[in-house]
Amino acid sequence: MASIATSEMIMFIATMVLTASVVGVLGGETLHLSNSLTGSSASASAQIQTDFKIINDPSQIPYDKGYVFYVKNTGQVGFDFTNNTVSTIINGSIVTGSYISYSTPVGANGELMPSQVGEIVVNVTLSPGYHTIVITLNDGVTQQMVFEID
Amino acid sequence: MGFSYVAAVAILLSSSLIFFGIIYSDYVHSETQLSNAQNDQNKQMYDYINSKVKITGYNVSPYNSVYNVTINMTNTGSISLGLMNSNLLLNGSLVNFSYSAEYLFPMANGSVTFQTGAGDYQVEIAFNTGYNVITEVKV
Repeated sequence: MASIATSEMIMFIATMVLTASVVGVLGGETLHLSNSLTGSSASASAQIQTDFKIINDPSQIPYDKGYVFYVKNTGQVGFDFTNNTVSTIINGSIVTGSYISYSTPVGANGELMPSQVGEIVVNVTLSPGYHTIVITLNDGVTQQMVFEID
Repeated sequence: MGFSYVAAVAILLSSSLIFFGIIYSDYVHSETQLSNAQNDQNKQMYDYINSKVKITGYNVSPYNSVYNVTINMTNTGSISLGLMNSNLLLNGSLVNFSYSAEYLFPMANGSVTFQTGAGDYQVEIAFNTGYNVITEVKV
């Protein structure tokens, strides 16, 4: 009689341990899925709301220690506007390091808020004629402009 | 064995229900967030497409050693434009300017004024929606 009770108890504990393990695994996966869902929707919605325009006059690119390009945030959210977060490609070649600088309005701390204008100064030599600039933000939003250097 | 089985099934079912609730709640939240973002983008596109401004002329008046140039315009589009969030480029470079009113409502007239020296200039006004107009002025 006692052995039956003992074996029932062992069986019960074993079942509970097994159930707890299954619930633990399910719970972990649920949290993982939940975090992924939240993260991906947040980044996707930020990308959808991000937009900018290159507002330069394509025929008159100002030169001040480099060619100056103006980027206006026409989206609904701010975006980082620094060497590490924006890629600039001129005529198919990426411009990096000391050849390029990004600046935002005073107090913006590298983030371009909606309606603000940031400056990209590209210190490269461009021959007279038509050229192409492609600016890509860290979330993949891209704008392109063909401009002319006299 | 019978009780263990029932207890295990009860725990698994109730926890599955809770987990499903968590996932469903996050799914609804994500869907709402994406839907709102999509609506914002649609509004942004609508505003850009429906922005239209006609430059009606300009006035030049001397001011000390420089000139005040006022460019007059009419909003011929169907949405209001924010002049306070617009930018003005003079021969390609950003310059400071003042505006007649913060907003340029549809069919309303407005103006922007900037200072410069004598010469021929190409003026570009980039509005808050991303729309821009270009005109030439002789000072």
